[in-house]
Order: sequence, then C-alpha cells, then structure tokens
Amino acid sequence: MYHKGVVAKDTEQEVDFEQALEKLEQTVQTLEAGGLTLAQATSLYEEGMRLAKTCGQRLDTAELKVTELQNAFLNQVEEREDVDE
Amino acid sequence: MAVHTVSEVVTYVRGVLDRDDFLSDLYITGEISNLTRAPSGHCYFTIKDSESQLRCVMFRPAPGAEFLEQGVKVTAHGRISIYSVRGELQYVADLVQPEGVGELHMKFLQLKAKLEEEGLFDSSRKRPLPSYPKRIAVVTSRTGAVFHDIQTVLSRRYPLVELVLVHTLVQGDQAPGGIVSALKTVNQEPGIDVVVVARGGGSLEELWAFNDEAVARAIYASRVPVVSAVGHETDETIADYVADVRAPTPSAAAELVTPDRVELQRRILDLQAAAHGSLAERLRRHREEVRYAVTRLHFRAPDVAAHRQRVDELTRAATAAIGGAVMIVREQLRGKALQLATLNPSKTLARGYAVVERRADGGIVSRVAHAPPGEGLAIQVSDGRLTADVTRPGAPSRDGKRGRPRKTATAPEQVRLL
Repeated sequence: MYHKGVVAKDTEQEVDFEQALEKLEQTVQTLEAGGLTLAQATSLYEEGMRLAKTCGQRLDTAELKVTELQNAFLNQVEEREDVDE
Repeated sequence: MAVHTVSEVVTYVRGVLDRDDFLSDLYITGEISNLTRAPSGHCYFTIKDSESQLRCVMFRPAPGAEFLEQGVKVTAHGRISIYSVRGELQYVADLVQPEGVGELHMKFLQLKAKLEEEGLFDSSRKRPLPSYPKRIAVVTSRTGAVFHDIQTVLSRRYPLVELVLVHTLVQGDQAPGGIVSALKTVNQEPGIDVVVVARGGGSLEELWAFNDEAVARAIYASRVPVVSAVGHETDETIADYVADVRAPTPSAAAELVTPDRVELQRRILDLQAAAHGSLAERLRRHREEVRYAVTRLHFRAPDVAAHRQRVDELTRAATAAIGGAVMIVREQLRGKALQLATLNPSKTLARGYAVVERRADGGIVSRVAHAPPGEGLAIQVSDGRLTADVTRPGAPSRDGKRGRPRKTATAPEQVRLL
C-alpha cells in the first residue's frame, strides 16, 4: 500500500482494519455489559480508545492499491478485438 | 417382405425426427388458431400461414404462454416430434414470443428458462458479500470507463482494499471465453473476497457475452462471490440472474462490495462515545456510592456531641449531688459541734462538778474504790486545782454503783448534801 510518509512509520498501520473494528465493537460491548472491576473497565476503555484511533487512522490515511492478474485466455487470443466503449 | 407394427413405424419416425438437428431446434413464425388451454396448464394450438398449418403443444412451465391468443402472430421455438397415440406430427414449443421479437431475445429467453429450470438462479444459493473485503477483483476491460469508475468509487469510499483487475474482452466472439477464463483466474488466486463482473452500457448485441451459457455456468461455479454489473440499470442479462448480487451499474457495484468510509468513521466515533459514556457513567455511579457510604458512615458514627452533652449533664448532676452531701455533712457537723459544746467539761466544772484524779498516777477517780485512804488526790474545779488526801475509806452510795463524780475528799454526808 502507498502510505503518506509520516504515517507509514506507524506500526499500527498494518493492523487489519476489520479485526481492529471488530475488537473495538467487542470492547465497547463488554464495557457496556458491565460486571467488571473499575480497573478492568478503565483498561478496556483505554484499549477501546487505542483501537478507535487505529481504525480512524487506517480510514484517514489508506490509499487504494491497484494490481492486475493476467488472464491466461488473452495470451492465446491477441488483443486485437478490444473494443469496449 | 418385412411387416411392421404401427408402433414400430411411429417409434422409428420419432427417432428420425429427434435426431434431426434442424427439426430439433427450430424457430417458427405463424398465426395462432384452435387454442385450447388444458386445466393442467398445457396449451394446445395450431400455428399456420396462408398455405399450411402445424399442430402444436406447449407444456406447462414454458415462457411466453401468455402471448398465446387466437389470431395472434407469434414466433415460437421448439422441435418437431410425433404424437404416437394419433401418429400426428406436432410442434413442441418451449418458447413463444410476439412476432417481430429478435432472435437474440428469443435465445435469451430460452436460456433463461433453461437455467432457471436447472436452479442456477435460486435465491437459496445466493451468498452474502463480505462486509470488509480486502481484495476485490474486477473482471472487465482495462480500457473504457468501467474500471476507472470503480477505482474512483473505491478510492473515495473504502481505499483499504486492493483492487485487482482481471482484464478481458467484454464484447465480441472472444468475450465469453475471456470472461470464463478471467473468472477461473480469480478463483485460482488466493485471498480474493469478491469479484465484480462488469461492463458499461450497450446494445443487446454488445452485452451478449453476458447472456452466454458458458459465462452463466462460470459465474455459477465461482467459489468467490460474484457481483454482476452489466450495462445500465434497465439491462438484464443472464449473468445478472446467476450472480450472487446484481448491481445496476459498475459504480453501484463498487458501493455494494464495500462499507462507506464516512459511515465507518461515524461508527467509530459512536463507539468511542459509547465507551466514554459507559466509563463516565460508571465513575458517576461510584462517586454516588462513595457519597452514600460517607452519609451512612456519618449516620453510624458515635454521636460525640450527644456524649459530650451527656457528660455535661452528669457533671452537673454530680456537682449538685456532692454539693448537697457537703451541706448535709456541714449541717451534721454543726449539730455535733453544738452537742460537743454542751459536753465541754469546763462548763460542767462551772456548774459545780469537779474532776478528781489520783496525784500518784493521774487516774480519774470516779468510784469510791478508786481512792483508798491515804491516796493523794488532785481536784480540778472550774478555776483551779485543789489538793486533798483521803483520810477515811469511802462507802459506796446506795442508789447505784455509779455515783456521780464526787470529791473523794468529801465525806459521804457531804456527797449527800450535793
């Protein structure tokens, strides 16, 4: 992925967005469900804030990566008929 | 000479007809007459032109049956066969359309009916699209606006993905083979979450590759969920029916396969707020609990002020009690002092009494026996001492053992006089 200079240094950048978001959802759910000690709640809160920051950064700084896979069929058929509008 | 039964002959003719390529895949155009709709849903009719006519049957779930009407000109697709029971030639139609519908459309309807029958369009086999795809493949032409449009939407909406182009021709004779091969490539590549099969708008002929049976079957066979995005919203292709999800346009497909960044950002903010709110609420509750506990503590704590007051009360009571006692004692003392005063010996002496002591040992002489004759006595009277000696033995008085103290020096007569 192409990252903007400064952000690329952030190791959080490689965290999987979906997993981070899911973990954030779970963290908040657990926090809201209650039954925790205050220390646990505080620690979960901090974890949640950290995850939210990670997710937000990923959304703010991601840039679309574009690649191409070779279609074997086209090697046989020469691209003489590429007449898409 | 071989002789045959009627059945043998009819069966033979049927075989000949069935094997004939021309007769088994035949479009016929003509006018409908003698239409009968059986309760079973099958339709029996005659199709004719100015010179000839053919008996026709259309078995139930055949598309276009609604176009059958007396006197209407239609184009039908079907095969020539023989109705063994009567030995009559008949046309078994599997598709009927109003006359003038193009061949492509007829083919489209035919394939649609066939694949539908096979279950390729069943909604039960449609798969959900991944919520957060990481690799999105697009099977389309690299030239043209479609890929660019998809790229633009993804850049704006959810740039966390890898967009994988699998280039193919999308129209012309080579297009179906190219699309089938591209889908195969996508399915061989690991980690592709969803594939969009896309093409821009065009005529029925230009979109024809997406009505190809091989393409339909490749989409059906795809392990990776397929989104079709062919032509404009009004264009319908077989690919659309087979795909897991049909998108009205390629841009719409890009939106269908990704979450929206703005919504996600909002969601994250909501989650943050929820976490914050939850902890804040918790802290508020704890503060409340502490306040309550403190209140209870105060309530349960010993009441120092009350005790202090009680001490004061008791002190006052004690002081009062002691004061009273002292007064009583003082009163008693005063009484005793008065008593004492009356017992003062000097006053007794003043009244005429005397204290008689033995000079020898200072012993008080209160009885006759205390002072035998010869005993020297000292007699204390109110203003001084007298000295006397007992010259005669005394005699106890008759009126008691204890006589009043008397002067031992005085005679009993004297005592009597006293």
